[in-house]
Amino acid sequence: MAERSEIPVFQNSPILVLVLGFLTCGLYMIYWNMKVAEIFNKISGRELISTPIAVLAGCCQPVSAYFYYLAGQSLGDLGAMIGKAEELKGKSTLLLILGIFLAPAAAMIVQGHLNELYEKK
Amino acid sequence: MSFTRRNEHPRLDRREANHSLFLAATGAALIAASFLWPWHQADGGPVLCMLRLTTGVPCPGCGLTRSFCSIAHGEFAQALGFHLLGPVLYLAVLIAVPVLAYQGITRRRVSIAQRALFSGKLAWGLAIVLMGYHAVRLAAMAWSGALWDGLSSSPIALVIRTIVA
Repeated sequence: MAERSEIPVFQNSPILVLVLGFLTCGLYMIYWNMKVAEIFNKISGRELISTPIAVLAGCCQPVSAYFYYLAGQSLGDLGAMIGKAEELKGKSTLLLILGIFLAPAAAMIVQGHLNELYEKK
Repeated sequence: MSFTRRNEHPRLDRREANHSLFLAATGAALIAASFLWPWHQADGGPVLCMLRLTTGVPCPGCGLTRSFCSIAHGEFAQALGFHLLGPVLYLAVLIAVPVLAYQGITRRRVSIAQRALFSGKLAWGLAIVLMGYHAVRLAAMAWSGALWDGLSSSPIALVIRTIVA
């Protein structure tokens, strides 16, 4: 895993992610997914989420489910970094289901946990 | 970025191999579904896109499923009409399925596949093309009036009208 100081800052309000996603007709979610994939890969210290697939996840539901499943796996590493390993472990299934039926909610959850990383820096 | 380069390790570990097999299976399911989906419903199936369901406006990926179904049934011109990137992505999936299955089964790294899967340049290129295409498509819809028709009859417009009234 990488050091916390090495993680690029990508701090947004979860509500803003939702609003920008709708206002830009989904364009913002493409950018957001790419950035989140980069950050989770950095947190895990390995290439876990493919960035080209993350781009497609921003606009294709089955790919989105896969993206959020992987993001859920990376949340374990994020949890270990912020001292919430047990709390964040095992969120893959929840994010996978939300990724299929309610991707904006999954994005808000992921952004919320990412923000914790920067708040505790 | 200082990731552990995958090419330094010639063989995939178990988790990576399973990941490859999962991706290959998903791609194969997608190809199979595009052939099996009833052709006459290619333009009349259920709307799964959250953005389109709530606002009536298509998202950047809307039309890909119909484009894939059109390709599977040999209708390439129609596939391009549904989504410009449909044929390119379909071809990418067709190539990726056997390559990823080979990687997963033999645990031997196919370096070109790994480079493509984790290429930042490819991701940015894809994102720019997708965003540009979507912007042009939205502008065309706005010009023809289809965008406003979709917006005005959407659930979100109904909610706004109810609140205002």
